Amino acid sequence: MMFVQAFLVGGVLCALFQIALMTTKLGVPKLLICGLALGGIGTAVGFCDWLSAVGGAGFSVMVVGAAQAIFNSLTALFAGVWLPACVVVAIFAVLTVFGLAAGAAYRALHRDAKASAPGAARGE
Amino acid sequence: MQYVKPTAMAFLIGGVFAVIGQAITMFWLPIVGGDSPFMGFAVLVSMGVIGVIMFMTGLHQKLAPLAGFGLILPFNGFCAAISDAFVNASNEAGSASAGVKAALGLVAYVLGWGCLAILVIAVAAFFLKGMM
Repeated sequence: MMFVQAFLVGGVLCALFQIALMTTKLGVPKLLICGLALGGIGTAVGFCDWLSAVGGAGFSVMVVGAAQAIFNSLTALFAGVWLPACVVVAIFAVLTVFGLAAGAAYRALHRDAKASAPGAARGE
Repeated sequence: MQYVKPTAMAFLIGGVFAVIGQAITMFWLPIVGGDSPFMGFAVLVSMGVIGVIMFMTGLHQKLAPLAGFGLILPFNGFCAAISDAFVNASNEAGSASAGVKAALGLVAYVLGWGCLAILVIAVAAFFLKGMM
């Protein structure tokens, strides 16, 4: 049952952002910033707690879910607890290094190949 | 009507990654522990590994035009977006350092503004709760 709920919550989130991408001129990076901000607001008013209770990881592996983690780590930081904020920073640092490493390895393997067509489905 | 197919694809592919994330969460739960602050780290980094594998095998590049936000919003997409920015910019400029610059620029832009927004909201919520 949890898998179905995760699928629905994750799918609906992605679909909503896809609709926003197609109907606005914001583009992906700005929409991601909006997603983080909306996640912050949603966490502040308690909506994200409900979403993550319903959707489980279907919510928390999304960017909006990351906003909840960032929000909660900041709240902990105000209370003098450092660890969650350090973990969040570590997550983004590790993912950035992974991304760069994958890009470098892919480029080394495919010298002439382009990455996924720039702009395609990215709203640019 | 042209919106229906991309939205459906984003829903399906996003949903699939949500299910994968749920499976990863259930895998880590007994190992890391539900109340551990490292739970998010284990799950999101695992998603990143999936993103890396998908990018290296070219699967991400094949799916990305179809999936749209279905491949951007989940965290494997975060990793792949960095790889994408790196590969595109370094191919254009012909040097790896240009790629690193572009990728880090993208991360700094999204996370910088995103975190700033969340910080403002968190501070506001902190004081509002203090007043109530």
